[in-house]
Amino acid sequence: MAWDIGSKQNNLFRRSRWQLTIWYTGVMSVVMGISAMGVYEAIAHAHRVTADRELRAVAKAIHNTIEETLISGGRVDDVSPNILPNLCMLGHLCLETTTDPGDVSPSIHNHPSDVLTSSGYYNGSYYIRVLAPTGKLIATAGMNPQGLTVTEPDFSFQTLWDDNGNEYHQMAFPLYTSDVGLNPKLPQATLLVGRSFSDFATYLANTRRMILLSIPLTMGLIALASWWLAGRAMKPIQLSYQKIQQFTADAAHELRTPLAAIQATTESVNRLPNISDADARELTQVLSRQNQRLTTLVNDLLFLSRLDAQQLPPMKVCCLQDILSDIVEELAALALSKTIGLTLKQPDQPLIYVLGNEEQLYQLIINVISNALQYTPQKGTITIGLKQQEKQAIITIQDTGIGIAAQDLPRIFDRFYRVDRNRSRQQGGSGLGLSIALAIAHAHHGHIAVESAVGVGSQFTITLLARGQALL
Amino acid sequence: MRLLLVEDEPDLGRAIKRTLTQEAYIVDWVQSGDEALAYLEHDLSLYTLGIFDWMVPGRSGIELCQWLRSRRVSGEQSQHHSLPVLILTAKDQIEDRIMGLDAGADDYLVKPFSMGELLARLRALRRRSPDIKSPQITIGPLTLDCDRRIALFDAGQPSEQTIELAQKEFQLLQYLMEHPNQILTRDQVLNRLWEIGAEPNSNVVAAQMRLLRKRLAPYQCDYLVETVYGMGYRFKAE
Repeated sequence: MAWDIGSKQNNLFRRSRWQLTIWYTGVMSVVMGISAMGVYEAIAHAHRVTADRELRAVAKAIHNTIEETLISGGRVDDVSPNILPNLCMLGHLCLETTTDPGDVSPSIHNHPSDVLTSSGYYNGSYYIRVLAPTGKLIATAGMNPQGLTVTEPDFSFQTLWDDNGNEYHQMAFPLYTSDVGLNPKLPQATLLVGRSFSDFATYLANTRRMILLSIPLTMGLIALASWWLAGRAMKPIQLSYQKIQQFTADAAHELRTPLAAIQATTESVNRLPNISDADARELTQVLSRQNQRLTTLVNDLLFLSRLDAQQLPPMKVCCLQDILSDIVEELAALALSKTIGLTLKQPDQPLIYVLGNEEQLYQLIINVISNALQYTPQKGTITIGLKQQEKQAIITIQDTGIGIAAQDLPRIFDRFYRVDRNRSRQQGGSGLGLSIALAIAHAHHGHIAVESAVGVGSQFTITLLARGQALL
Repeated sequence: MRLLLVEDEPDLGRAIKRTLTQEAYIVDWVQSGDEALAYLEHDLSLYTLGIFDWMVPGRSGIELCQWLRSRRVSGEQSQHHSLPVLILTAKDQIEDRIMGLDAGADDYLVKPFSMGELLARLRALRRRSPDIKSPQITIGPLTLDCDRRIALFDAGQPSEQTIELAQKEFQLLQYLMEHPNQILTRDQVLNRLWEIGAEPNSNVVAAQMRLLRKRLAPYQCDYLVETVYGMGYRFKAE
């Protein structure tokens, strides 16, 4: 039913818009998600690299200081507390070995002044451990990493985790002393410098939280933007759909009128008690007339759809002077019967040629002139002009007709468009004449322009690509 | 029953007029809205029904409906009935139907249509309109069945008989019986029962009256159709 079509169409467009929105949102979300992950990884990586570089610098500085002190005969205690804050030596209260000498895991008590100072030139997330060659812990300094076991030193970077899963990076250095009687080639102790990555983990956790929190907001914005974009994408489709619908409705309307005439006439004759010869004759005349009308309409529609599908018949070089003369000859009788002066002004030489299909070019020009004839009152004039301007052949059709109002001008080439919607089709024509003319002009890479003033007349200008004689 | 048909498609108009005339309507057929308006302005009361094509040259059928409605609103029509209108058009969109009916049309028929449906819709319009007389008129021994278009003598009695009447005679009798005891001038009868533009020669009304009386004579009813000398005709009702 007719009233369902509108809502069905709206539903279709609304559904498509939703689908587009969902697709847009999905794709954009995936892209944004991947980007966010990349950014997150880049941030994490940069931090890790910076932290490791800092660890290396700090560890080296500590190692150098301690080693200098030891080589110059000093003790670890002598190192400035700025370098080794919270220093705690074996045998002191703060660091006790367990009863089991084989256990390398010492129990480290909380140092009374365990509050880490940040007064040193490195912050409080560093810990320093000195191991005897046996692997026994003999001194600690810096922070106190709870639950981080002392492991076999590896003279490179080590990543360690304590019992709570906190991450530490650690570097190990051999320590040499100047003690006599000891092999100076062998390290007397190992220095471990480590850095807690818990601040780093906190930072990353915060970053993650921020990214997660921003997801709903970003998704909302993306969805809104997608809805808007989908709307914009649907607009041209909707417009062309409406145009097609209008065209279908118009075509149906044009087909209905002759069908109604045929049906009404046959029924009215059938209802007569006696059908006379005159009735029968009239009936057949009506049938053939309306049939002709339907045929013309269907042919015109087919022709247009063929042009739309760019099915072009073979082209050849055509002489415009010949075509125009033929047309004027054909229309002369009609113009005479309407007492309209039909004048052709064209140069005898040089001949103007265009590449095209002669039959179509003929139809193009005759459609425009027929239109002028239809809308020019009695005693009016129609002047047809032809000239060549550089590479363009220009045909002008000027009439002293009723003219076209400015608001109708852009639409006169629309299919079935009538300036006066109530004007009857009796004068013939399917309402497709100018549409066909324009379609042919376009198929020939040409153009039709129109200028008009109401009550004064109109001028149609057909521009086609001219062919020089040299190219023949 | 006189009807104004506005249809610019000659074949269609001719066909409709043929069928409606056969169905005893008197059809004035015009091909443009402006012409139709001139007819309506001349004497609206002449018409019982209107069939307007939407898209006709000049004023559209819709504009004619609006014109009729504006008259109705301004009360100019108080003396007479409001003309029921059927819009006949190839425009089938729902918006068009709404627009047509809102403009004041009483019915809407989309082309192509069946004549049978058109006639049925016209009958329905006639029934709906309060201004249009009931389909049966009984005065004295005479009964007129406007739907079946027959005249009966002693309807419902054992002596019931159908009176054979030609189309024009029936129309004449109907017009007279719709206005009992009222003097109808020759011009009134002529305007009402003959198509405009097809005005027959002057004695046609008198001749038709004579024929009608002749038809009624076998039933002793001819006295009911009176000639009021110098004035016109009257249907006598006791």
